[in-house]
Amino acid sequence: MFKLIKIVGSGVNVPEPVKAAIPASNYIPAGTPIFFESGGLITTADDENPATHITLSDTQPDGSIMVFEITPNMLFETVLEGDPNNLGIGSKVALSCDSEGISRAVAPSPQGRLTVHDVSITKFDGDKIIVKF
Amino acid sequence: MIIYSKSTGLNNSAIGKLETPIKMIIEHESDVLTKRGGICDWLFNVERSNKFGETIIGQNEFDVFQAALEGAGAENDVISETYRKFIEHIQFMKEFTITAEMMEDANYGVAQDAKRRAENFTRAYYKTMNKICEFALANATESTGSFAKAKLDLTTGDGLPLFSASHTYGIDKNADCVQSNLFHGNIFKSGTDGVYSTAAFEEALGELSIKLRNMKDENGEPLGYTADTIILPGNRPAAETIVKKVCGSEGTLGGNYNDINLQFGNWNIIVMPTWQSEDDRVMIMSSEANKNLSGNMFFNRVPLTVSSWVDNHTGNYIWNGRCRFGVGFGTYKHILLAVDGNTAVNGSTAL
Repeated sequence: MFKLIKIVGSGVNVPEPVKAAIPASNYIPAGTPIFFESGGLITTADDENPATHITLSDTQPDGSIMVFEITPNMLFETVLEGDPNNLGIGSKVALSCDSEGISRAVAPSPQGRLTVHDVSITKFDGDKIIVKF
Repeated sequence: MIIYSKSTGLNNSAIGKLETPIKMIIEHESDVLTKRGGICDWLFNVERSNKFGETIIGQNEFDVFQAALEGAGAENDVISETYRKFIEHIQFMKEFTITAEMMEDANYGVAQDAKRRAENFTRAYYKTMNKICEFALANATESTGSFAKAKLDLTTGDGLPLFSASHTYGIDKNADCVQSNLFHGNIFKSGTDGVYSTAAFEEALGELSIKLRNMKDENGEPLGYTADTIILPGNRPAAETIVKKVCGSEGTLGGNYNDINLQFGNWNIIVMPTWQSEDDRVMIMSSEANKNLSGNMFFNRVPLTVSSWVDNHTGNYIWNGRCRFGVGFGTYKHILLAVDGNTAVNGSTAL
């Protein structure tokens, strides 16, 4: 899960939400990075398709989901899955296979923008980490 | 998530969007950490500050007088600063946003009741104070720790972590002027097979108390403070039971003798709920030494202040809570940590 914790340099910490259509059978939880395929279909982002939005709610029974657009000054808190492997501030990272965190085991794609923003101590598998898209 | 709003679908019951009657709304499940008078007040000296940080300075004092022959002159003595500890305040903040529609439509909770909003900030404030104090003590075998994105300095005036086997004292700071407040040994268990034993703890507690009493001042003299507080992790039931039995029994434990229990009635036992330890360990502290020597310090620079405003662009209501305080250890001589086991932990001294 990617939790928006701050919008740097902004007077507010919350984004403007957007309501998008999604089949009720396609369950995507809140805090998932997504992108819109051609035709407007929401799909979970991966290392091939960088995230453009994050879900603000779970898929709703009425076939909708709240999302917000990712801007460069947003800071997200997520989980490091796996070994840190010389992780540092500014390290370019990729989403983990389940897109619920980041993982050094997945090679970041050239068009991906996910970088580590954390300024605190050494991270280990399972620790929270702050990233920017 | 992020905004307290209707559209996330996470707060439907607050706006009455449910088909069943509400019997109870549980907004807080425990008051353990969220009230005034918790661990912070029990174990730390809480003081105000009106500067960017506070420094605790230690110095030695005059030694004994030296004999002099008739007509001879007096020997010289010297006073000098022997240690210095600076504790800097850290700013802590929290923000909370509710959409205008939620403020208009909510039937209960933070969106409907202003008292709830204030109460939530207060609870979080006390939770921060108590948890940071617990964290500082529980992790003080390290030099630094990270709590809520704050880097905490867990060292004392000699630059070593609060619990260390190599603390220094005095002007000379040579290899002889070293003392330990980090121990390991048969604290809760006895024998080679390591069976829990009240007799073992009764003996260990006596030894640890005397270790603390013999902690040396900056002149190398024993301080003589009486230990009166036992601090335990929250998740070690066998150790906790033994401690309570030893402190609460009039007679000596685990034997056939009719001796009195010297530890009876002398101790306050404090269990730190968020200190979850992987082994049996215990802290012994003298509250008098803690107070006199500025041991565990909590400096309140700015108490909680909450401001609120409306974002005109979105109509969202925003609350922002802010406080500043500093946490640190002015000295190490008021407290010690003992780990059960025969292997050294972080270089601990064998008991």
